[in-house]
Amino acid sequence: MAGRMTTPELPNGVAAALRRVVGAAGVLSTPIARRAYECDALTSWRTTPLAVVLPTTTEEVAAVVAVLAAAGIPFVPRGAGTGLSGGALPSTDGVVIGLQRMRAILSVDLANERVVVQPGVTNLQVGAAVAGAGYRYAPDPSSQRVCTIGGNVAENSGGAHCLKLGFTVHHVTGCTLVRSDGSVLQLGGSALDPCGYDALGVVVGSEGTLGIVTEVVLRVVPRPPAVETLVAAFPSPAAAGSAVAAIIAAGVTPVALEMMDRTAIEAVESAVHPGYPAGEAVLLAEVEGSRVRCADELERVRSACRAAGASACRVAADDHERQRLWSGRRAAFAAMGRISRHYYVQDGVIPRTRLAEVLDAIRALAAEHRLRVANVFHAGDGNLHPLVLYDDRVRGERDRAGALATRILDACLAVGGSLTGEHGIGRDKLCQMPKLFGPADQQAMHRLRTAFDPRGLANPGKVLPTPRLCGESPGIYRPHPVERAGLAARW
Amino acid sequence: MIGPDGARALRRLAGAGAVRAAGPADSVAGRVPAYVVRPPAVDALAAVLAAANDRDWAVVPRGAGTRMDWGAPPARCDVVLETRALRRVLAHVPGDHVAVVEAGVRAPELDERLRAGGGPPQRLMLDPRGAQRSTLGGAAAAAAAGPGRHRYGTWRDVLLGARFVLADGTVARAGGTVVKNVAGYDLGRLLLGSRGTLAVLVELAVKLHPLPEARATVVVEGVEPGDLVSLGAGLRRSAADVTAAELLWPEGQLVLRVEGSPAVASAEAADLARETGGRLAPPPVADQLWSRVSRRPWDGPGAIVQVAVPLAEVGQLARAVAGLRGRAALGLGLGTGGVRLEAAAEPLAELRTTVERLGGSCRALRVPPELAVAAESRPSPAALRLAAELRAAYDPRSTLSPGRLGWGLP
Repeated sequence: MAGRMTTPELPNGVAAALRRVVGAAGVLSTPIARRAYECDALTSWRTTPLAVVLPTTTEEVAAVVAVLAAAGIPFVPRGAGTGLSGGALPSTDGVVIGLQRMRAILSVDLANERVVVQPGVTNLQVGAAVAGAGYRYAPDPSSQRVCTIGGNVAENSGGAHCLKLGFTVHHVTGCTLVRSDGSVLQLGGSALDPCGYDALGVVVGSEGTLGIVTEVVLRVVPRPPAVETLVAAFPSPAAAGSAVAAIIAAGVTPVALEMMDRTAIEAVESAVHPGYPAGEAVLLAEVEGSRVRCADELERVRSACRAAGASACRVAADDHERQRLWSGRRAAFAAMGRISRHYYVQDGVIPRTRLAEVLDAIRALAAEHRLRVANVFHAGDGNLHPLVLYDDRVRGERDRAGALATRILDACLAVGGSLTGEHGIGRDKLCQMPKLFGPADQQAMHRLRTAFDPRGLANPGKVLPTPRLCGESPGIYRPHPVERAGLAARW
Repeated sequence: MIGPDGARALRRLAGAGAVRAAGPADSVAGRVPAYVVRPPAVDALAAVLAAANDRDWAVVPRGAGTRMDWGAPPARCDVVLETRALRRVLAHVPGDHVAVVEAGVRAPELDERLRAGGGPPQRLMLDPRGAQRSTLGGAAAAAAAGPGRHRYGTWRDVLLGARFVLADGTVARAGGTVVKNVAGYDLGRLLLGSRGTLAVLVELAVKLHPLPEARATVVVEGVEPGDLVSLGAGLRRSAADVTAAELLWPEGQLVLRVEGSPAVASAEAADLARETGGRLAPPPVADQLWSRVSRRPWDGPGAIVQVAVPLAEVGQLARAVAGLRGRAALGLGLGTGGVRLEAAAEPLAELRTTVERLGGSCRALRVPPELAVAAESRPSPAALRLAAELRAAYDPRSTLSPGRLGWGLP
């Protein structure tokens, strides 16, 4: 029986050395404790690590990594475990370095518009630390209540408001990186334009494969003086897609431009009652800036929606209504539980001009696979999140769902899109990388990895495919404990 | 040295018309190459680079040659490899605000193609000095930015994907042509500012922005260093969406720009003028001011250094520049800028020491080689080690622009 199988153990000498660094309480080695780290929010991939180590400072991380490097043991950095691509999936011969105890906000320096944090600080805590002074931290992944800055840096996380404000890479001005030999490297800082190569630009988004980020310098920005939020309903997803294309083509860049189709609307209406106007699709658009700019851009958005056939167009009267409109969007993934037992969340990107046709293609593919797909996504930047709904108890549905999710991604690639817009390659899409990047491209990426980590100890088996690992199907969603507890939603 | 056999090989790989003997005008910071090669296509460029790599010829890539005086002189230089023949705009989808260009394309050539695309006008919003003459690949390799970075950022904000040739002739790609993408390592970002030392950029996918219908300029006169920090903070908190904010020093002129529909631009400009105590500059004056910003600190003799400090230290930086009788354009909202000083060790070292004390760094742009050590901040030993490792990973034989990064790197 699997339960009686002996799991591999960390060599005694290594365990003792790790305890000397982080204390006995900082090393989890019992099978039960280790199993709690066997997956991230992509629960279909599970591997029990040799041990879990919980350091609290850069020095401890460096010492832990040095111990592991001396023993040739690979490691996987992990934040809150909300990642959706298996980026924090352990390896059987490796150790998880959990950064959740590194949750100090080290400095709030509004004169320089910078906040310095340890990687275990959550995304929302950064915003909360500066909100009182009228500032905000722009990237806002939907799991922002629990997801950590370390994870955001690893994944180059986005969020609804990244359309105008940029992704994590545009809001990180410096970091401290512990390399896989235990050496410590400072990249950038509070000031811009550091000398030398822009290594920070590739470390952000490298999914923990170039080392462990142990301190991060973040840019915070003043809140806008005025915000307007508009909700519009459309007779079809394709019509809403045309409205998005028209808004972008008209030269307006809303701060957020989000879309939901009827299946998604039904789920959120029953869960949080955001009160969207009736239609086959709704679009949420937000503009911000001076009052006169808001009014101007709002009018352009509204006329683009009307021209695309919007059946209803409503502007939030106040903050309360704005929050209600957003509550539906934020709750969308969690609300799927009301209409489906299981779902797999896909993360593909397409050119914004191809929205209508790809949404039609997704509908046709869903029908072909006899499954429902709910669409909730960042329409403004063409980042689709089709949710493939299925019931694991029905024989064959899980496999059909996996096949459908892959076909949807292929449809994105066919129009010149990308494998992932914000969830990362991780383990989940490892073997699909060749669909986007040829051998020479992968080889060029591999050179970066070996420059940083010649022995391949940092998060092995992620991002770049290997012959040993590939040949399996993409993962299928099962709810993560964090999500079941209502602490996180998928975005 | 390239002998007759080598020259024949170059002609065979790039085409006879693509190879010429170099002259003094082709000197790269004092090093005159043997040949200048302008391959007609990416394949030929890759073949030339691979051949050079096999034969240990040092290769310095060149776009339009507008920034060849930036950086340290190459330790060796046998071939100048030009990208100027790679001048096709490969794609432009107006509705997506994305264009794909070959590296030898210049901004005006891209603009022409963008205009032909129809629809509301759009543009690559980077406005570094000499943007009209530079190739886009060269500007990216130099990470050149202009005043518009206040709102639109730098190359890191607009580069969506890149195709490049490694020293051994490998042609590879990273990123993509969509505006949001986290698939694989974004190697294009690593090449920004790498000054031709890691790879030769041959293709860029860039994000475009709508060209605003109207622009308005506000100028604040008589600004003193002591005013700068509060002025800067006020700007960032202003309701107006400031797209550029440059301080001309020693004139003490703060030049600000807002954009939008005519109504929005004029309303925000009026607000900004009231908040800052400035005045609206009529179009001819505005053009003059922005032209002065773009020439500063470039025009004139002396050494040019790129500076960056934390935002709250801009006043201290301006004081230091004033004390050194330097001329500068400082980006008030970002703490970055360019300074021109007398090309002598003492003032350059003093500026660098001050900037480093303020928590920032200096990068030598146009600085005589013997003064680079005085002028330029030295990366930490850990950062230099990584730089050397990156060099070894991408260009183990130091074929591409050897020594160009400075600090004794290969």
